[in-house]
Amino acid sequence: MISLVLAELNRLRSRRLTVITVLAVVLAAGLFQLAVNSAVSPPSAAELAAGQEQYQRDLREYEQNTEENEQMRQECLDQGGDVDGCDFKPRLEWYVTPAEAFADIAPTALMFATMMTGLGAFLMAASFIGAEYTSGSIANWLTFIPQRWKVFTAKAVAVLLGSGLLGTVILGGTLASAALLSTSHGGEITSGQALTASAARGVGLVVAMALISFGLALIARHTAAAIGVLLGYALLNIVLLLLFGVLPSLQRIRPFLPDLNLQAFLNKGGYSYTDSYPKVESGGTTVEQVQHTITVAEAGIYWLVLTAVTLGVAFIIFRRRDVV
Amino acid sequence: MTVSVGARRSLPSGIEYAIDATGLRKTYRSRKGRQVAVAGLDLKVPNGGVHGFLGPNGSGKTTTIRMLLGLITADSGTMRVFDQELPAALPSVIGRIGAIVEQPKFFPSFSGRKNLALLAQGIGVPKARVGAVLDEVGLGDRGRDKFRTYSLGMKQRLAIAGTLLKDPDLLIFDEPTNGLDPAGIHEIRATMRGLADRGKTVLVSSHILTEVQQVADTVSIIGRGRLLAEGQVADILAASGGESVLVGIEDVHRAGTVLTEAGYRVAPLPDRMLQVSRPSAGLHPAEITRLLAGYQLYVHELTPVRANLESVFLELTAEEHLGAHPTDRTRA
Ligand SMILES: Nc1ncnc2c1ncn2[C@@H]1O[C@H](COP(=O)(O)OP(=O)(O)OP(=O)(O)O)[C@@H](O)[C@H]1O
Ligand SMILES: [Mg+2]
Repeated sequence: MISLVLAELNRLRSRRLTVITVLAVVLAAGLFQLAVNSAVSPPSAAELAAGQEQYQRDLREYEQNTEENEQMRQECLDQGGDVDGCDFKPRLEWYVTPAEAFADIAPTALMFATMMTGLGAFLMAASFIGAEYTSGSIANWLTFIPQRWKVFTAKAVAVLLGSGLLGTVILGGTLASAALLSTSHGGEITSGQALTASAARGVGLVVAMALISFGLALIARHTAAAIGVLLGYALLNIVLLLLFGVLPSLQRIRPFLPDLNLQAFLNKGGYSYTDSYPKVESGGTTVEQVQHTITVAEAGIYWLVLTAVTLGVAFIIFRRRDVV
Repeated sequence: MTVSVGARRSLPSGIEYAIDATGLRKTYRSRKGRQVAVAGLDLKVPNGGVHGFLGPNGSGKTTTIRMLLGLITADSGTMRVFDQELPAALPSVIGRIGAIVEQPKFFPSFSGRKNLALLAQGIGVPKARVGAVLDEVGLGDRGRDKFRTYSLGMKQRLAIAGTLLKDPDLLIFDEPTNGLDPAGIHEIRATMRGLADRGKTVLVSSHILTEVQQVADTVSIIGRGRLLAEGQVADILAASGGESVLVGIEDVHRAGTVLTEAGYRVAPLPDRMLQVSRPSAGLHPAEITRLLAGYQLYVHELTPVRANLESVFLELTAEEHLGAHPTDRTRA
């Protein structure tokens, strides 16, 4: 069994598409670090001077229009604004963006990296299986190892290990790089533990996406089918957004949508969203807003079940199916 | 179907069979419907030597081989390989079976060597064996080229090298000479002979009889998923009674019907020719001419032929050709 897994891993790492995918994911995650770098950098002297100058100019202008300012303030307060929010006197922090904290930028970087790596792993796994059917070599393989459960398990384990390694390297790298950039600009590292946990869950997501893709490709015997499911879902998402407006009760399926669960599983506090239910009353239409939260645990169970079901169905089909 | 020529002639008793299958059945089910591919086939392959597995296109050869290898499940029937019940014992006997089903199937963008290395790794065969089997089939210097760049003959040889990784006792080659040039065909034949001479059993399927006639010790002839004849090549030839007549005629189809109704066996050949025989009774060319003339069918060519395996084969599979493709008069 170990030799079988090693053979599958050997094939996975030797595939051109694997190499290309890994490079693309590394590149995307690397480029994002440029954005992280500029976010965690404090404003440069020139930016500071330019901001100062603009601030002074606006402040002077503000102070010249006392009457107008008072009028705007009053209007704002009448509309229910609070005192602080209705104070339009320019403040320096509006003109000079301060360095973003590590704890603020890291979740964004992790989210981006997880999506990229997950997408890459999805593609990698789908074509890993699809190529066997396109070339017909699965039939040849089975004349060497006829035990289908062994063949299935070895492939699944190879996909799991391969995507797990990719996820660990990319997400670990993303977190480490963001921390490094932040400290080098004098930032402080906070919420390190929570973010590490989030990155670990990100690795789990990458693995889940790879395994789901593996299952889909095996069921359909084609790379394109798995990718089609992904694109189909992207399309469905747009349709759903439109449908939610027409058929508000449809919003009840939202806790079962993969993209919400992806965010929920990655974020420390899960994912909150608001369903809107328009209500026609005597006075006109009001919109009732109901807030929901998908917790991290719920999202975790969601991904576990989705992965297990896909793999289970794929195995049942693969075990019995004629290979011609 | 009535089979009188060489029907179910058993092989010499006391022989141990490498393959012993009885009552094999397989129906493919697809959205377009059901297709009976193998319909109660019995197949006995003696231990050692080359066994030809003959049948026209679509007669179920590949399907049978797939069932033996566990690639598809049989609907019913029993299979034994080296006296072990399949598919239950497949994991333990697979190491003794090397098989190429239809075309060689490898990853096109990996080299021949890489493809074999993956197989070797998968079954736990030392890596050194890869180089050895590549050399054995004469691919030593092209091993690092991509499979995609191989010629048909090289692909075939790579597939043979793959089967040799296991050092099997039974080799199953499904139409191994398909698309090869004479030199390539000769080479494959020599390889099969060589393997048999080393004590291995080779099962080779083909729809071209002459190809197998030269190398096979025994043959099974099947048609429409059933066994039509089996035994040693010489026996089948002797039992066929030998004679047949080639009839050239304009309206082959009507002539075929007339002759069949009169109790002749008719096999269509290219160029408006029919191969006509009558296993149960004597064959008189003059009678054939007279019979056809009675239906305003005039023979423009009439050649008596001595029996060879080809004519036996055509005779046995004649009904199949007429039944399956009434308009297709070409030999496969
Ligand atoms: N995957 C499949 N799905 C449906 N029908 C099939 C399938 N494979 C084969 N068949 C049908 O089963 C029958 C037997 O096919 P098979 O491939 O076993 O014949 P064969 O003797 O190997 O023919 P050939 O000499 O052309 O290779 C044919 O009628 C074929 O159309
Ligand atoms: Mg075939």
